[in-house]
Formats: sequence, structure tokens, C-alpha cells
Amino acid sequence: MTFLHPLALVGLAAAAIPALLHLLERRVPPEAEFPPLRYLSEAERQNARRLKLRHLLLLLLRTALIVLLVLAAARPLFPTRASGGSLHEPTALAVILDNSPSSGLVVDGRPVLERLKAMARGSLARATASDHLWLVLADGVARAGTREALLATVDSVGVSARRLDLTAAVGAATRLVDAEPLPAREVHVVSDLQRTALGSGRAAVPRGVRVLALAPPSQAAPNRGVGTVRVTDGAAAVGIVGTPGAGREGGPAPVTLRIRGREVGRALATPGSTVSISLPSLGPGWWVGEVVLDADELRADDRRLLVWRVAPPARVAAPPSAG
Amino acid sequence: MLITRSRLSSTRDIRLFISFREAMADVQRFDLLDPAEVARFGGIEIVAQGVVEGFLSGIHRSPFRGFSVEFTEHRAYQPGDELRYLDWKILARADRLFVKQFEQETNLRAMILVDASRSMAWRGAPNRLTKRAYADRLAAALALILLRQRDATGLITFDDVVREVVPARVKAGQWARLVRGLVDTPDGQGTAAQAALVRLTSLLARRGLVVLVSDLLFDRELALTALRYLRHRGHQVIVLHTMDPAEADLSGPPEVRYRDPESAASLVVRPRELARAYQATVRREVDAWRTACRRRGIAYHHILTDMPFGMALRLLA
Repeated sequence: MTFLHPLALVGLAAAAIPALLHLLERRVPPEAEFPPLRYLSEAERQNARRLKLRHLLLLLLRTALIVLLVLAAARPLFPTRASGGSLHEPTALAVILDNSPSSGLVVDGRPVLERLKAMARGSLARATASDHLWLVLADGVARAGTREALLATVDSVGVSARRLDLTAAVGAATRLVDAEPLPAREVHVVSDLQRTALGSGRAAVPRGVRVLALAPPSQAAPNRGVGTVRVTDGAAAVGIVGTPGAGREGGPAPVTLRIRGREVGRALATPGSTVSISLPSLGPGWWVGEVVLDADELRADDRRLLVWRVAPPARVAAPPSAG
Repeated sequence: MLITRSRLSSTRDIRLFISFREAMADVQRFDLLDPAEVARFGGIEIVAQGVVEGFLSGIHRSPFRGFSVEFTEHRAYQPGDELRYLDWKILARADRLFVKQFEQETNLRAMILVDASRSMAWRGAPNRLTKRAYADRLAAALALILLRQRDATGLITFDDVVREVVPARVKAGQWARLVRGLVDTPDGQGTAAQAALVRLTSLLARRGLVVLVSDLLFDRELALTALRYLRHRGHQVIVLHTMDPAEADLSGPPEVRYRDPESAASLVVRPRELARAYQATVRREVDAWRTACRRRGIAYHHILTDMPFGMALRLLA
């Protein structure tokens, strides 16, 4: 058995109220004359045991009533044979796994994406055959499938270079599950909830659809990355960006320029600065290179590809007929 | 009607008399009204007379026997007198109703014992008579009936000691003395009525009828010993067990400390949860009294203070 609102179980402390009232409420009863007190004493003497038992049962009953009310408020879920042993009613569930570049951030030696994947796996693992499932990744595509298929997809997910618009994704997912004729409809948003991912719009959530945001504990790590690369006049100008704390704590970081896999230049740069790395003399044509910054917690912005064209040298043609 | 305007002295008496006459005109059976309602018409005398008038008009013969064979005198016919004692000769000659009385008629000596202990001065509701007030009025009515039959009637009131003793007589003014004896007895403070009962037995030397009006809130065995002794002495004993309806059925606030007015004992109870057990205990107690009295040849009657006086008197008839 599990509970839909386990926090409500705190109310179980209220079960002590009847006993406390019994112990604390020792008020002085009103007095009255009653001549046949001997009959009363006799009646009480003969019924003392029955009355004690009755009081005890009453106390237990009141306590049990409070416990039952609290348990009912906590919404217990029981596995039934009809639901295939699941602990919930048939549910249309869409899991949005935000594997956008920010999920590549490494916190405590472990990528955030791994934590997000673990959460997504947790949501999908509780699904049963009677549930309808979808998985939405950073590309915004809703993948329908069985629990096992979607779990396999989650396992294979890596950090995507695409940015996920969470607002749009939630809107689409809620419409998707709302169209299903199942008693319960849920959307689980598994994301690091990066500010830029939330956008400025609002997702309209239909009535009856529950949206759960599952996010790992947020830890803003210092970061630096390759902001811009521009090739001009035999050199590549590399602009380094970073969070305010990244430069001071880490100091200058080496920047490497590779052309066709071969390192051709290196420089030291701090966040907010632009360094120039000289290019070797290259023949005319299209060239592909990459600027690589020493790895930090967020790997996605530590490498940037660049393509440029070296024009052939200008030539002056003099026809014979020219004077 | 026994009361006439000539016997009334004060304005208050006249007012009471008028209201009583009006009530009697409206209600033929005064004895069958609620006792508390009846008691509003006046004191013990007025109420007892009204009750007896109603009671005797509702029956066809005298409720108590005491007639013998030796003629002594005539007296005016009273409703309820047996017609066989009517003097037909006087009726034929003077067209007046007289009954013959006999020597042994006054041989029935009735002694009414009224418990005046503190527990008797209790009532369960403001609109009811206290047990003592009810007992007084019932005793006065009973005495009036007995005296009308020319039975010598006396009164003893007691709590833990004997308070008032009015010897059994049949002479004129006896009923007024009896009523005064009742009125002059204050509500007692006593707690040990059985001691007074033992003392009473020595006061009742001549055989006769003994009527005990009490709530019987004392030790049953000791009281029965005294009553058995009376029975042994040849008395005809009647016990009228007076009880307030609130003593028969327990009710009250959710929790209350009940205190015995005759002792320092007290008990905290929840009337609602003890009501059924208490009712059973009272029923057992009443049954025990009834059985014990029957075994000893004593007549026992259980009377609630909301029972009309006429019904209580009928139990004795």
C-alpha cells in the first residue's frame, strides 16, 4: 500500500486527541442532591467493569475514526487484480524529459541528465499495461510506446544540442493525455527547470490533468564556454563567456584551435575576454575547425565548430592583346 | 362539602375556599388530578378534603371495613357507605338518609406513620411535590376517610427520632389535630430512621392498622425487623413506598456529582450511561421490598409522587 498524499499522514498525530482530552479534561462536575444514592452506588458497583470496557471501546473507536479520516485524506492506493497489480487507476501519462544542453551540467561528478533520466525511469517504471505512455524529449516529439520501450529510450538518451521550450512541450503533452479516455491523466515534467527553458508564455492545462514538475536539487555551478569564433585575417578571434564566478575561481583557461583534428594553435583566455589564435597558412577552399575550451561542469559549450573559406589569391590576367 | 363559610376565618381562607369550590365545580374527580396541580389549591386540609370528596364519589362502598354488630348510634349517610347499614325506617319516616353505627366500628385503630427524614424533602422537578408534601397530603386524606368511618386514627411523624405523636382518637377535631401534627413537623435532618421505627413499635400498644408512608431509604433488614414486630403484635401493616419519578428513572446533565442529603456521601456519575443499570437496580429494590413484605404478611405499595391521590388511595381500598 502506498499513499497519494503521504504528507497528510502527519495528521495521524491527531489520533492522540481523544486520549489527551480524556486525561486533561478533568473539570469539576456540577453538584446535586440525590437521596437514593445507595441505589446509584449499587448500580455503579455492578456495572463498573462494563462501564470501563465501554469507555475503553469508545476511546478506541474515536481514535480509530480519526486514524481512518487521516488515512482517507492521504488517499491510500491498493494493488488490485483488475489493475494488474498496480497501485493506481489506469492513467494516460506523458513524461517530458528535458535533455537540452543544460542537462549536461556535471554536479558532484555526475551529469544532471543522469538524475533526470533516473526520475523519468521512476515515473515510467510505475506504469502498468493499462496505462497509456508517451515520452517527450528536447526535440519536442511525443513518442508513444510500452513501458519497456520507453524505458529503453530513456536509457539511450544523451544531451541534445537542441533547446527545449518547456511551456510549449507541457501544453502539447497535456492536450495529448487529455484526449485519452482514461480515469487519470498526468504529465510529468522531468527537467532542471532552467530559466530560459520556461519561456514567457503560459501552458493551458485542461481540467483533470495533473502536471508534476520533477526537478533535481538546483545547484548553480560556475561555467565558462566558447561564445563566439570569428576568422579574420589569418587568425581566429575566440570570445569566451562565463558566469560571474567562473573567471575569478578558475582563472584563465586554455583554448585550443583544431583544424581537421590537428591542433594548430593555443591560447589562454578568461571569461569575458577575446583571444586571437593565429591560423597557419592554408590553401584556398573550405576549412572545418573547432575551438575547444578546457572542460568544466557544462561540457556542451566547451567546444564550438567553425567553417570558413580561404579564397584563392587574387590574380591579374594580362591578355597578349593588351598594350 | 365539609368546609362551610362559617368555619373560614381569614380573607385568604375565603379566597382559597372559593377557588376550591370553583375547581370542584369544574372537575368532578379532584382526586384524579395531578398532585402538584391539586396542591396549588391550598394547604393540606383543602387538598385532602377535595381528594376525599372526589374519591368517595367515585366508589360505591366504604373502602375500609370496621362495622360490627352492636348498634350504638346513627350518623348521616356519606356517599360510599354500604347501603346495608342504611336505616330504612328513618328513611321511610323522615325521608332522610342515616346509617347505623355499631360499637365495634371504632375498634379499628389506625396509626399513620409519616417519614419526615431529610430525604423526603426532595423533589426531582420544580413542578412536582416533594415526597414529604405528597406523603402529608396522602396521609391527611387517608385519615379523613378513616375518621369519617368513625375509625380511631392517629399520627406519628419521625425522622431519626419520633417528632410528633397524635394518639388515635375518633372524637371531633381529631382530623384537625392530625393535620396540625403534619404541619408542625419540620423537614427532618435525621439519617437513621430505623431507630425511630423501633421506637414506634413501643408506641403502638393496641392492635390496629399501621400505615407507613416513607421513601424507605434506610436499611431494609432493620426496617423489616421493626415492621415484622408490629405484624407479630397483631397489627395490619401497610407500607406506602413513596418515590419521586426522578428517583425511578435517572436523568440529568452529562456528568454530575450526586450527594446524599442525609450523609456526606457523594458520587460522580454520568446519568445517561448509568440510566439503564440504575433503573434495573431500583426495580430490583422495589421487588425486594415487595417480596420481603409479602413474606411477612405486610401490604406493600409503590407510589410515585406524580400519581393522583385518588389512585394511591384506591391501592389501599
